[in-house]
Amino acid sequence: MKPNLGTNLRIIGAIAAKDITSAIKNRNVLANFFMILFLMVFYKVMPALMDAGSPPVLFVYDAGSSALVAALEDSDAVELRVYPSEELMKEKLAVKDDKELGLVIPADFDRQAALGGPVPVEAYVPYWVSDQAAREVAAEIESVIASAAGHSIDITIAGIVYAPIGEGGQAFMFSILLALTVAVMGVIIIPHLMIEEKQAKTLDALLVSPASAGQVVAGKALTALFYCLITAAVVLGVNAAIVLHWWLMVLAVICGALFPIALGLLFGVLFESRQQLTLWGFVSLQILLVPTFLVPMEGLVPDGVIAVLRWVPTATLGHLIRVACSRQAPVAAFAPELAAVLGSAGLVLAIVVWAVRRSDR
Amino acid sequence: MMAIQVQDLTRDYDGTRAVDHISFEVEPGEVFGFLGPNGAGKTTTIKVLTGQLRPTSGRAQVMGCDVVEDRQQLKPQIGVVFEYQNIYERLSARDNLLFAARLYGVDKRRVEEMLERVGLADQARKQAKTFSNGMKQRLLIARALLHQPRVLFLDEPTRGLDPHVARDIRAFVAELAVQGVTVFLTTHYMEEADQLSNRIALIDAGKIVALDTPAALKAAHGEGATLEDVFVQLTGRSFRKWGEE
Repeated sequence: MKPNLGTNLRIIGAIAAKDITSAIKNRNVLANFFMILFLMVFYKVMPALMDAGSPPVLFVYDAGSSALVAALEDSDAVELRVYPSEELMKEKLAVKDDKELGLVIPADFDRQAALGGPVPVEAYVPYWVSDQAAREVAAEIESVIASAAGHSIDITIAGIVYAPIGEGGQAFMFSILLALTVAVMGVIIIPHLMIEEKQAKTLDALLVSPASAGQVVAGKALTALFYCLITAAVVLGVNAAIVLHWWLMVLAVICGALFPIALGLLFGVLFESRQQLTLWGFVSLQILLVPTFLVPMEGLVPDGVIAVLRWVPTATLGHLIRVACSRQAPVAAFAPELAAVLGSAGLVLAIVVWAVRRSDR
Repeated sequence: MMAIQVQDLTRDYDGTRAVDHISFEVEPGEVFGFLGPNGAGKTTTIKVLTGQLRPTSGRAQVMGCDVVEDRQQLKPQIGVVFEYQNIYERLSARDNLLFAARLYGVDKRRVEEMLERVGLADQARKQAKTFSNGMKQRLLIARALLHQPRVLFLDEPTRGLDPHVARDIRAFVAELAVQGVTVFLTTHYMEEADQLSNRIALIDAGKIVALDTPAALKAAHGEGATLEDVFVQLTGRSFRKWGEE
C-alpha cells in the first residue's frame, strides 16, 4: 500500500520542519550563514576601498578627434579608454563591473566648445547602475573634465547598455558568488543533516517510523533547499539591481541548488565522520567551482574544454544566472541547461534514496 | 492471529551467521523475554522483526505483516525502544514527541498525554540534551508508545539506569501488558525478565536453546534454580572456552 499525497507531504514536511527548527540551534549552519553575510559585505565594500583615490575610468567614443580627449589623454585626473566606434565602446562598457560612464563626444565638439558655454555630451551606463548613481557619476566626470581639461560639458544619460546574453559585467562575478554560495551550502553544510542522524542513530528511529527512505531524503532535500534559498536570498538581495529576469533567477537557483544538495546528502549517507566530510567536501568544491570560473573565459580556455565543463552543474547554474541578468532570455539560452541541472540532481537524489534504503539492510 | 511469527529465520553478516534458523511465536498481549549473551543475535532479531534488516532466509510476520513485503504497513503497528538513546538532543522533549506525532499522524493532544504518563510534563520544554539517562529513556518509551502500537520492542530498556527508574520502567511494561500490548523484551537482567515475561526464549550463537515460561525453565533445571542459573547453564562458557573461540 503506497502512502497518499497527503501522507507523503505530512511526513516530508515533518522531517523538514524538525531539521529547520534544529538548524536554528546548530552552530555549523549559523556560522555558515554569517560567513555568507560577511562575504557579501566584503564583496560590496572591498572594490570601493580598493578604488579609493584612483582616478575615474571613462569610456569614450570620440568621432571628431576632439581637443577634449587629447587634453584628457595627457591628464592623470581620469583613466581614459578610447574606442574607434560607438558600438565597441558600449560593448566594452557593458561587460565592466564598475559604475562607469561611456561618453559619445560629438564630432563637432571643438566647434561647440569655441562658441562658449557647456557642450552637451551623451553618456551611457551599464543597466544595473541606478538613475541617482548615474547622475552622481556624471556630475563627478563633469567636474573632473572641467578642472583637468578646462572644458565645460553637460552630460545627459542617453541610455543604458546590456551585456550580451550570458556574458560578463557585474553578472560574471555575481554568478560565481551565487554558485559558490549554493555549492558551499550543498557540499559542506548539507551532509551534516544526514551525518548527525547517523551519529545520533536517530536515522534508525526514522526508518522504523512510517517515513520511507524516499520521504527521509525528500525531507532533508527540502530542508537543504530552505538553507540554500535563505543564503541565496542574501546574495540576491544585495545584488538585486543586476537581475533582469527574476522568474528565471528563482528557477535557476532552485534547480541549480538541487545538484549540490543531492551531492551533499550523498556525502552524508556515504561518510561516517566529519573528517571524511571535510576532505571530500573540499575536493568536490574545487571540482564544482573551477568550471564556474573557466566556462565564461572563452578565448582563454580551449573550446573543447569549455564544451565539456559547461555541463558541470555549477557551471550550468552560473550560465543560467548570467542569462537571468541579460536583456533577453530566450528559451534556447536556458532550457538545455535547466534540463541538465534537473537531470543530474534527479540522478544523484535517486542514488541517495537507494543508498539510504540499502544502509543496514 | 499471532502477534509475532518467526519461521526458520536466518541472518548473516559478512559471512558470519548472527541468527541461525530460529522459529517462535508470540501471542497478542504477551510479554516475551528474549535473552542471550552479548552477540547472541538478540538485537539482530529485533532489527529483522522491525524491518530494519532483511532476513537472509526464513520468514517473519508481525501482526500479520511480512517484515520484508509489508514493511510500510508494519511500521504503524510497532514501537521500538532501541538499545541506545537516539533522541534529537537539540530539540525539547515536547518537540521530539511532536515530531514523532507528525510522522505517525497522531493528534497533538496525545503528546501531552504521553508526557504526563512518563512524568516529563514539567520538563517538556527543556532540550533533551540536558536530560539524565533515566529521563531520556522515559522520553524514548513515550515516543515508542505515542501512536499506540500493538507490539512494542524493548531492547535492553533498563540498561545503565538507576534502580528507581528501572523499577518505574518495569512497572510501565507490566501495565502495558495488562492493556493488551505485546512486548518483545531483551534484557541482561534475569530478575527483570523473570518478573515481566510470560515466556522466555534463550538465544545463544544465533540459535534458540530454550523457550518456555520462566517457571518451567527454572523447574527444568532443578529445585531452587534461578533464571540466572538456567541462563548460565544453557549459554555459559568458562573463561578458557571463551579464549578458545
